[in-house]
Amino acid sequence: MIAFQGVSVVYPNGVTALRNLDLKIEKGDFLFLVGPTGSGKSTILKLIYREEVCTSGRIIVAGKEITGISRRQIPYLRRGIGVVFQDFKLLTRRTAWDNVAFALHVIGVGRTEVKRQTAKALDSVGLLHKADALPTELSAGEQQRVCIARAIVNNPVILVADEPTGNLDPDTSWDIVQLLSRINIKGTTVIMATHDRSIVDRMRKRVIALQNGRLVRDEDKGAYIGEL
Amino acid sequence: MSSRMRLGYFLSETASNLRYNGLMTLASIGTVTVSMLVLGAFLLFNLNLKSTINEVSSKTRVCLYLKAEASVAEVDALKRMIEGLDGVYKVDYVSVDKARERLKQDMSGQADLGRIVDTAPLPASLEIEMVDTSKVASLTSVIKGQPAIDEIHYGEDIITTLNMIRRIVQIGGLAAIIILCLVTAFVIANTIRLTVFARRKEIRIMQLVGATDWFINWPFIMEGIFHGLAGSLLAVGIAAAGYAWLVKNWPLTFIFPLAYNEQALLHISIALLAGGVLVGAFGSFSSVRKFLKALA
Repeated sequence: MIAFQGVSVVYPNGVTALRNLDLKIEKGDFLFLVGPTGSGKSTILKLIYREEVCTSGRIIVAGKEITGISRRQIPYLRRGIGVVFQDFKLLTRRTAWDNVAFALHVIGVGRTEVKRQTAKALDSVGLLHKADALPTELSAGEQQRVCIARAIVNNPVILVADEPTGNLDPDTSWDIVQLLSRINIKGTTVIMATHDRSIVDRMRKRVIALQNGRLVRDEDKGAYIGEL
Repeated sequence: MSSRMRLGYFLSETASNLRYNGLMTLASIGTVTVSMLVLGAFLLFNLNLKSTINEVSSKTRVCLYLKAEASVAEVDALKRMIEGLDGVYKVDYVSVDKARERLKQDMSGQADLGRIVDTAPLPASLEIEMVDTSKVASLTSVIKGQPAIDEIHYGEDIITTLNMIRRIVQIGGLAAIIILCLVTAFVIANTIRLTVFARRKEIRIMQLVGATDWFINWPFIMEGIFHGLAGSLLAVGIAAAGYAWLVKNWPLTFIFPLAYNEQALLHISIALLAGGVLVGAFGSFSSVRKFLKALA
């Protein structure tokens, strides 16, 4: 599904975000990216949806090499990838329904299909009854659910989540991860960058640990801090 | 999404963009109006200058003074030869008597000059009316040196001067229009940039969920087109009302009456509207493109 082959990212100011990373993620995987701030977790996610470009190496997403794709092809790549953010990035003047439907409108989906898919996505995150609420009228956990509904509304094959529980209390965080897990069970590959030790330890999924841009651990059913 | 629905989406986004920046929208429309008014004034001035040149040209006659010793046969042959030349409408023979008669008429009321007119050594002449005054120079070069001709006269100076004025106005006006259009595009680009900036979060999300650049661009380009169209419509309205007033109140004694050629005025209006729309589209497109490139 996703492969990083000798990927390095060096910023123009000389800072190295990733060093010679080799990584393979299979279809249907649920994977945690862990490591201190600045270790390269977010960079990996941004490389997948082509917000950043690697300095060297190759990246393959859904069977397609994306390293050299043109600017014009980027939107089509992104239509297959859902993105969940720590700060939700919801449009505050639009209702929960509009925020989710927006993701379909802007890729040219027809009105009937927008209605059907938006209702389905909001239902799957348990928020169909709050479809008319503005983000400011929702709790942080509910806002994150809307963000997830927007990310999955066009049935992406990959879901990347950049610290989706960073702004949430432990119980709500656990609910959100359970929601991501349910999405994963339906076949979507989920990659989640996190600092939340308890969640990683409780889930016992694949864990990739990074430090200074290097992969230092890759464990199936791993923990936040590796077994010594 | 069908193209009709897509257009509906673009229009509603454009309307919402316009609401974001009410004051800047007005400033932008005002700038287009001023620029298009200057362009309109230039085009109207040019139209009048052209019509004046045509008017002067149509009254321009080439006058060939004939030698006293030229025979009737020579003059007749010369007349026929000139009638066959390109750009010539009509050739009239003015005899010495007829010339004296004309002079008398021109001098009527000045009784003491009557005797001088009677004895003045006036030459006979051929008066040539031209269809196309640009052919005057080639005509004179062909007939120069004909034995029957003594002198050739025509309103060369005034036509040359008017054509020179027209050329200067055209070059100067063109430069002014280019500068004005660039300034207008710059103001529109800045207004659109404000809207784009206000909606950057939305644009970012659009990019992340896979909207193409064109899909993101369209509402902003339509906003720019709206600024251009609204501004130029205002300019056309003001120019039309102002010009109609001038045509009505222009003193007829002043050189020539103002040109009122409906087709030419329609062309000027279309030029102003098209100019406004193009400047608006160009300004907004350059602004959004720069922004999207920086974000992608």
